[in-house]
Amino acid sequence: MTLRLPHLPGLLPFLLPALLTGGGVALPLVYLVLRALEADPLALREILLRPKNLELLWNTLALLLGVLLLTTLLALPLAFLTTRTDLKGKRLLALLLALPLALPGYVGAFVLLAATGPGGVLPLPRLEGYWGALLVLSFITYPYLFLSLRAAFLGLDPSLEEAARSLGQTPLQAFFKVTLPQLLPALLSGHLLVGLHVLGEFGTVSLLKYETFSYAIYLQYNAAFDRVYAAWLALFLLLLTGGLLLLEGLLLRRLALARTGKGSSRQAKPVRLGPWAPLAYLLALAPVLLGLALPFYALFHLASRFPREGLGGLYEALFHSALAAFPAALLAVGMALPLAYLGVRYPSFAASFLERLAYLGYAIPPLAFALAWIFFSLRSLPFLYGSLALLVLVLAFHLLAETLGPIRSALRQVPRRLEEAARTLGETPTRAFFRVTFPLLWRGVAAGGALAFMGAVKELPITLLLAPMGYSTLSTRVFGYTQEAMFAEAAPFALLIALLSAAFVGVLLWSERRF
Amino acid sequence: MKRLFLTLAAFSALGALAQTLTVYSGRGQSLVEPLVKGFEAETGLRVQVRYGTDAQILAALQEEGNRSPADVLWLNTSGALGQAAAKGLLRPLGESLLGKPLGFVPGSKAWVPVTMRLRVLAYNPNKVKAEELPQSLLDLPRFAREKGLRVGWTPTYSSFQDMVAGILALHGEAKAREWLLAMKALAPKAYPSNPAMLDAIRAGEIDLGSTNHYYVVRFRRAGYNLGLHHFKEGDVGNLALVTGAGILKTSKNLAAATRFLTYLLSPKAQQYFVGNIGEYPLVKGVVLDPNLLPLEEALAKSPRLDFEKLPLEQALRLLRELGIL
Amino acid sequence: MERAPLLELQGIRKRFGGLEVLKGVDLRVYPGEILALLGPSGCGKTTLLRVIAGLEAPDAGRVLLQGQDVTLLPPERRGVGFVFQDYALFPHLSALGNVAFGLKGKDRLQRAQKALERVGMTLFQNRKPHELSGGQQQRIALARALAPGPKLVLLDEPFSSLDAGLRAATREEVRKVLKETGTTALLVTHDQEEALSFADRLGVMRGGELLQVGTPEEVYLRPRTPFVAQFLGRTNLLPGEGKGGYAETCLGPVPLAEPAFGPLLLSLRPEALRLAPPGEGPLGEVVAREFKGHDLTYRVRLLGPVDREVLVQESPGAPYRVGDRVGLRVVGEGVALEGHPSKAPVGAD
Repeated sequence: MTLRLPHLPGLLPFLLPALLTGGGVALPLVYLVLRALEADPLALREILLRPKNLELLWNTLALLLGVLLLTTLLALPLAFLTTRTDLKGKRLLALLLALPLALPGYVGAFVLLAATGPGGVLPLPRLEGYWGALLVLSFITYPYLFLSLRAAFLGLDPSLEEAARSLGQTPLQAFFKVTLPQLLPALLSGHLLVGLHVLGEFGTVSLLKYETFSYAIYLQYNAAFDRVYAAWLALFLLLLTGGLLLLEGLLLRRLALARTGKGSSRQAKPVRLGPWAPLAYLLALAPVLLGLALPFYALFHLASRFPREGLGGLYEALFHSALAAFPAALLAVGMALPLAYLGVRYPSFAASFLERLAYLGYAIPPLAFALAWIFFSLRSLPFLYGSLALLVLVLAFHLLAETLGPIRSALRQVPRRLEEAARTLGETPTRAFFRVTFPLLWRGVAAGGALAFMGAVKELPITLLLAPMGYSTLSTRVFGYTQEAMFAEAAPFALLIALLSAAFVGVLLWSERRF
Repeated sequence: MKRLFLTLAAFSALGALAQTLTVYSGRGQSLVEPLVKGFEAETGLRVQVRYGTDAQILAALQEEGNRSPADVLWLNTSGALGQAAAKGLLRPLGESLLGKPLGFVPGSKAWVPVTMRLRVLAYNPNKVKAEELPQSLLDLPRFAREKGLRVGWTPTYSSFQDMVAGILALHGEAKAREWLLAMKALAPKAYPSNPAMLDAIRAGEIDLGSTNHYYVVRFRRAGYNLGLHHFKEGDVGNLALVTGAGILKTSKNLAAATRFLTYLLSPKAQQYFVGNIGEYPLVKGVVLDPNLLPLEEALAKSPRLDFEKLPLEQALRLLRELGIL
Repeated sequence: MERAPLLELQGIRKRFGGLEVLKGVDLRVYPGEILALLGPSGCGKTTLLRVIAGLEAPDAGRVLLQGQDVTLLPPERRGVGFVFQDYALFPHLSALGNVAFGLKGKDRLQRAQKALERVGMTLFQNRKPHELSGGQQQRIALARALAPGPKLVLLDEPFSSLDAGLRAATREEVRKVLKETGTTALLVTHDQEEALSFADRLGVMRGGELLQVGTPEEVYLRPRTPFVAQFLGRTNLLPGEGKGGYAETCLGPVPLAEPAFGPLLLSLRPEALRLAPPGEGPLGEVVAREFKGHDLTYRVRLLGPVDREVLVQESPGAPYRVGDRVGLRVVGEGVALEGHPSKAPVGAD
């Protein structure tokens, strides 16, 4: 269906929020351009035209490709194992596998570093440079892909695979020829999140001494107190991100994947693993160990080296984190729904532009994002400044992209015909959406919401700068302690972040049960 | 959703009604909070704090412009404070405040130093004898080369960059370049943070590295045997790094802000800095740790410089040019 | 039929990219009737249904329901039921939930149950769609579309995914339900037998145009174009010369249903011909014999100046075999078709 004038009134409930959301995300872009224009041309030339930038570009791309490859090799088989096989305890396994998401990157990489190498608690060589960054980033980001693929596996129509089998394909051939193409939207949206993470990540790469664009931005803000040149580098980074988005959009355009058969699908029969089960466990063990157990073990080990001084404010920080992250996740989902709906159901330049904008918002360095909102909110909504409402709003804008992927791929698996059927039964587009599409989407909604929630709990610069005064959350407390190198005191807060997120991953996996 | 928003906005507006002092802090919450509590108890004033890194705080202040709610700016580095002064964010302070610290009062008179850290050389006492160690930071590369010692450094850390700026200010660009190149020739291991580097010395991964004194103090307090070496008096390797605080031009609570700075320079608060994080106080009458030098001696170690005018940008450009950053 | 039409289409045009799918369709559907749109796949019939339902907006033309222009009205405000080809049952709702979906008010469940009862699905009301067979899903889809009491129900190939045995029976049931409830229905199909047996009237579509509308008998017996003649069962297309009440053809004079003059193309159904012993009428040779139980179709090549094959329908007991020489007898009427005979397709079938 193309977007036409007669449709507009019915679609307003989608269009209006979509436009507002797009505007909210675009605001920081405007800010970056404003700042960039302040640059002194001579100094700018020095920053932008230095040969080092080429090296940074190459490093960034090499890391991006490596991480995408490694996360796919991890997430695809793991998502399959935990959805489509008879593996025992696959639900628990899925929970564990999604948990590395709960560990803030800045903590994870730090403790992993401290724990490895000579004298470290772990008998491993110190992770450094490209391979170190590749490994750490992959183990931090693969859950995005894992969750996205899981949702897609569960939404697949098994009859397609069966059809391929009946046409003489082996299970493996059927998987590659039929199932994999169906998984592509989920794969792409997962890749997009992972990619954006890699592009925007500076904590890990700086710790591992691997220089990328985001690292250069980080240095510029933190070491040189320079907002102007950092804005230029950020715009560079956005250009890269824009390229990534364009690529994803081009690939996605060729996929039209709503189920075409009967209006409902069955659950696939689980694949029997038999003697392969131990191997499956082994495969699942690696990321659990490296992404979860190891950092935590190292964290506690490191913590135990320093004397501890009380656990003040643990509950308060927990409450504050939840109070900001929960509404932010809800709001992000609420903003993602109309965007994804318009993008999938009424594919047009405008709709996909808005959708892409959300991803750009995610790729803007969070510090720049926070500064932009300080700038604009004080000038236009001063009463909101320093309020929890503003923090929630900005977190939602920033994390919107995390919710968009799962919702979008879920939406692609709901046949449009169901909405049309509801329309002919007397429902407006909005009501049809809520009565038919939404109930079928909620797995994607839950996945997206959980991702945003965890993102919000971990988030740091935005929370630091926009939270109400004296509003300390788990992540700001972890920051506050690690800033003074007090790891022992930071540990319980970091652990609580992980536990809170774990609870959410648990809810998410529980919600995957079929209706 | 809209209703939730309004409720939240109203909720937070209520909090702002009570007259409070607003502090923007680049220093960590774990350090600041007990001091703030002490101040509140003593004065009956309410204090709210926004935390961040120096850079974040500075950037936020600039974006807020004259609408900023902040009264007091309290930062980790004199470089950042100097930037704040240069950008006209700070209000000149009165002599009664500026007269309190024993030294390091900046030329701008826009902020007061609160505590001092010294750059020192940390080393593995099992590998290096104290009496062999060089008298100047500038001799460190030669010493390490001759002894075959493994060196670490923290090029991304602000104090290290301050120290490079110190070399530039005291010895000129040629000397600074020479030193950096000589260091680079040793293939030093770069660490993201000082605790990581000290842990590497402890573990035997490297033998020595220039760091801030309180990191060594903290490792020693935790029972680890790390060597702490001061270079000769006035050497750039002993560069003092000053933390400090100022009052923002936007402040509407001048009296309370002044009281807060006065409190930070009171013996009680200064004792806290020594005891809690091992920094040097800047007022008399504070009991020092056995890990620290006597105050007079410590003050004499650092070269005399206008810390606000450290050529930080030049240092960064040089580090970038040499491919260290 | 001088009653006011329930649905009227005026010059409906629709283009998808470079392809014009509907080229100006006019149609009237009268209250209470079942009208079938028949055409090969790709002829635009499904698009026409979607335009009527409001799921597609036409590029030009008007849709009138009970005399009111609804062209710009969204689907939910048209009161038109739709049974989708794949049924589009809501997978998260039970059979009852599906049927009750379009109903409002306190008694919606009772009314939904009544609708289920009508299609004989009361026993299955709590099943989810994936627990139902194709035929059962079909009935739920119909019940769901009919439950809100629409003025008009549109059915898009509703029987195509049922197996042959079930199809005839279901068709009968659906027709009964539609007639009982007095619902006006517009059905789209590519199956001529289905169209002929199910509909009160039918329309034949081709390439985005509606070629002919009429009762099954009218369209079958008086096709206006070669396509219509051929699409609704088998026929012999013969060029001839109109002479008023009859036409001169290669089979000799053939009586015409309506008088015509000059060169023309004639549709002569196989049942309008009979075989006879050689000597009676033009001579031919049997080239194929198709026995279908209730009747028997011969393919006969004419042995004369014109090389042509014709189809002849005989009673099952006809004695002729392949290779036999036979005479041909015209026992029915031919229909003169529109268009010039020279443009007519060659071949008999």
